[in-house]
Amino acid sequence: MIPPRIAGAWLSLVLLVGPLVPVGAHGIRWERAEEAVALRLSYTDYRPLRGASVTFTAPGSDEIYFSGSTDQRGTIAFVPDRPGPWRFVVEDGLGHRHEEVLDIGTPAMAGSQVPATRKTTFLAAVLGLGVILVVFAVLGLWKGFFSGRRRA
Amino acid sequence: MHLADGILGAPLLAGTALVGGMGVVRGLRMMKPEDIPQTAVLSSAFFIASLIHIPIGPVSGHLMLNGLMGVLLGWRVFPAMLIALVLQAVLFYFGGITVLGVNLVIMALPALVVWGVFGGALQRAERVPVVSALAGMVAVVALGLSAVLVTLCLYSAGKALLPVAAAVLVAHLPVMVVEAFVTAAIVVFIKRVRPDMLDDPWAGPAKSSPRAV
Repeated sequence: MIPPRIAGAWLSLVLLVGPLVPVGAHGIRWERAEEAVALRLSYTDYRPLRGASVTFTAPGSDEIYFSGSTDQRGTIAFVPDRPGPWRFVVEDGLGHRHEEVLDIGTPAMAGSQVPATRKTTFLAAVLGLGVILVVFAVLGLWKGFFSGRRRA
Repeated sequence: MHLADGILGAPLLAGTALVGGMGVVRGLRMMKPEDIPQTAVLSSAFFIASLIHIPIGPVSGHLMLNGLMGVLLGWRVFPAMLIALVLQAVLFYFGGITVLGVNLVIMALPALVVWGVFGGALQRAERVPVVSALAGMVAVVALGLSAVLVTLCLYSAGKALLPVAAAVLVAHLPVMVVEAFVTAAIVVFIKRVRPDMLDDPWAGPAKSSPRAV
């Protein structure tokens, strides 16, 4: 049985000194995650995709490993726990959705996908217009062929 | 206003693909050889218009021009939009291949409706203010109907997507205003230089004749 005087002295000591002792087990520390992968997302006109929902799925898994939202500059970062093809899905909440596989094998491979640039967008637009031209040209030939046969 | 892959259920995808496919067949049957250059130009305009984004606060919208395409093309709007939507999905990741039918119906059906409702009035109107007002209404009604169809499609996928539908509706209100001015300017110009391009759907088989296959 601890004498009440001793117990009271211990309790006083704990109450006085306790708040001064740093509680290491519940403290917060931080370090920079050098292996983090950051993506910058934008529309095809290069405006940042702000507040878009992005989910990352690890290689060989169907469960979402990480999900978050892009910041004001359209960027989002996460730390993959294994190499391989990571699937990410971007949705801006307005019906625009993009799904892509990001190959994270070695640091050199990360981000090896060709980003959309003004040049690639321009080339895609020109390619699209060319395809439309060809499709309608073929349609015109087809229609002309059949209307010619009908007249004949 | 493109809906993406993986959101909607299979019955809706199949149903809209069927409706869209019927529209494309009808449009191709209506298309005469001399209509093809005009259809190609408007298909190209629709394809490129999706790249012109209008910033609206934190989000943005892009021109659709489906009202303009409706009054100029009639049934031909279906094949014209289908080609553009395929290319937008493949080249710019707008929408998707499995939702082609949904996106086609969302954009082309309102175009067809405004052609039926406003086509005759636009053809008969002579004064510039009247033509401008009618053309503006064409754009607003077509875009509004498209937004309603998007909302219905998202609602069919679950109530969780209702906030998205609301965001789509709100985001497209300023786009309607911009598109109304663009459509009015183009239609007024067309009325001056080529008034015969505006077709009255109820005036008989003068232009869009199914016999001209």
